[in-house]
Amino acid sequence: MSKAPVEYLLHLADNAVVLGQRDAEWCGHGPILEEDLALANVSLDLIGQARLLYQLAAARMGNGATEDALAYFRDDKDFLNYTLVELPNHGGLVGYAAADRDYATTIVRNFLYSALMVLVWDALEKSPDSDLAAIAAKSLKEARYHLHHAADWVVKFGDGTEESHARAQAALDHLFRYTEEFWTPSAVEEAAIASGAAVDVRTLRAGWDAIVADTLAQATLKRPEVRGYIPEGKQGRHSEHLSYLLGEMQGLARAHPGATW
Amino acid sequence: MYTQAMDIPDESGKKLAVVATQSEQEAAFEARIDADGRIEPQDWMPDAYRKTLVRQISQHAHSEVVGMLPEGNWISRAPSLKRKAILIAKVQDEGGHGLYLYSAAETLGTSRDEMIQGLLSGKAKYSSIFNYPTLNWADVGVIGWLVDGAAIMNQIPLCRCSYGPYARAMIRVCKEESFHQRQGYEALLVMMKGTDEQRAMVQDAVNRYWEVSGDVRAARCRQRPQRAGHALGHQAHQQRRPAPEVHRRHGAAGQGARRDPARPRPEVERGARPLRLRPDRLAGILEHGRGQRPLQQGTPGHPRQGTQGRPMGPRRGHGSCTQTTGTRTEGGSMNTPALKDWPLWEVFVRSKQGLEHKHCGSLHAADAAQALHMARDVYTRRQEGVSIWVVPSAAITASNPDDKGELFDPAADKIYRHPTFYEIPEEVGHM
Repeated sequence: MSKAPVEYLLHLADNAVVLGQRDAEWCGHGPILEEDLALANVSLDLIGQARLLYQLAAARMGNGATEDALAYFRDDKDFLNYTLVELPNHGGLVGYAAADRDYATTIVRNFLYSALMVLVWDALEKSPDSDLAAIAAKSLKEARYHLHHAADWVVKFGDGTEESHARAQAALDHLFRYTEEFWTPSAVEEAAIASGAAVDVRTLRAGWDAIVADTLAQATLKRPEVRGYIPEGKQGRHSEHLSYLLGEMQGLARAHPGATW
Repeated sequence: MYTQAMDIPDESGKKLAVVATQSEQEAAFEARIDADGRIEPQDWMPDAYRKTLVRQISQHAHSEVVGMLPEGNWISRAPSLKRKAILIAKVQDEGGHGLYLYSAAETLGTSRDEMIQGLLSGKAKYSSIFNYPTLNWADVGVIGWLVDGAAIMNQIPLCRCSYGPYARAMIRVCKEESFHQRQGYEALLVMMKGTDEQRAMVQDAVNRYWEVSGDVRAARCRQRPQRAGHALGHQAHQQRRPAPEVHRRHGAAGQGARRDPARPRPEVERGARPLRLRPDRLAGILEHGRGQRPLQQGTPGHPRQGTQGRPMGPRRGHGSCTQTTGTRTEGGSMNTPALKDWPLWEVFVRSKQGLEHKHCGSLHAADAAQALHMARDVYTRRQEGVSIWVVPSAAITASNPDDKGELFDPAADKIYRHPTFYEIPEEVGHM
């Protein structure tokens, strides 16, 4: 029975935990109370997925590895997440710059990511790696809801007021180039595909394009041109933002190595 | 939580002749409260009762929403994924409680928008305990253990208060709140069994919050009781329930350890200066109405960042919410999507196949699809449902309470409609 390599599980887990961390930044600060609760649910789903994947990876690694050791005691260069998910909830700035949170950025990012993940989880549900398939089955339902939620807002923003349209388009222009990373397999992904337990994301591209085209048409938003830049977050080469994100997330745990919480 | 938006058929012309006089209405109202009955939104009520309720419920709601912030401060730094998930869910629950309460207050004819304006302008108050900073991770556990533990003591009696929507909201709140307190206690227990540094964190947090709770108790003693309407005075009386009963039923703060001597107790001492009052700080917190925390950017009324003064209206042309073109910028103070333009929806949930949909509350949403999504996130977080209906509040037509006599009393003596006196063969079963 073929099993997905541990690094592939980490790639999936890192995506979920990092985006869960970003979405959780809105908890208590959402644009409206109902939406605050909705986005917290998305974040909780992602953290739940990350936990299951880290637990599975830890069990296969042995040597006393735990979910928290994997989430809290790996450095940024060891994280294998897409650059897209680590970007702050605002437009493009260097790592040490600050700006107001922008809900359009959060929503557009969740849309682009969950449009991919409904396809990834759908494929992984059929993986011969039965542990991974079980996680995928659970995550697929969640991702479908995330996609509905985000796409609904993309349409409301895009086909909304001038202000909301402009901000949704700006978020799309900023984020879209980062989706190029989806389609170029890393060495980890190549190995995983070879194992037979993973999905070759390139085969999902047409499906993803269709979801995106449909939603953007409803939203009256323009799909941006991409110009050859391919981020390499999933190979451990990240933007400046991940180090800050992990610094905050891991700081307390790392200050007390060996402590139980 | 049926709303004011609900329509009662207008038969005012016909009814005017028989409408009860003010004093008769007041007597009937008093009699119902005396009989431990509930007041519902469409019932007549004295203005003072309505006003006091709006103030009390909205301030309660504000406290829940502002209460998200001190604990939310630690979400990004939670030291394990499990604790992070627990904390997000808890902060989310508090937002949910705020929402249930705003819904209850909206049945009295005041919009959530108005209530939030009151919070942002400083006119409406909230619990000042949420102005204190959360300085280390153990604060999160201590707030759950002590603050939620205290809150539940105050809140349980409100489940029996005379105003139906408030009582129903509080039942929901109390169900969720009681386990926050246990979660907080458990988190501290784990830390107390950990390293010296962890124990020091817990002690530091307990010291600070013990002192704070002294401040808050003292403040409460100094407040003069407000009795806007004597009906509420009565209500306060009605809410009283002997403390031991509360302890037995719900396990108030610290009870977990006491009930089970086999469970290890955390060796936390009470604060070194438990009763020392800090009038200087107290003044800073209470009398400015917006103490330490609200001076920090972005609190309360959370959505300041990002959308300041810029309307983010929902999509054009959605039924009744067409005002999306930026008329909501008066003073730049309100920057959420124009809430008052979002219709109110009543939410009905089927808890399992075979049961009927049951009303469980209301929420604001731009359209029906969004209302369904939001109902799922607000009212079914704990697997409460397998199916949801949302109905625009304005589309519900309610019977007029004044017609109660003619509508329902005639059924009272039709004893022959009930099978009580007839022999029914076993095979027919229960009808």
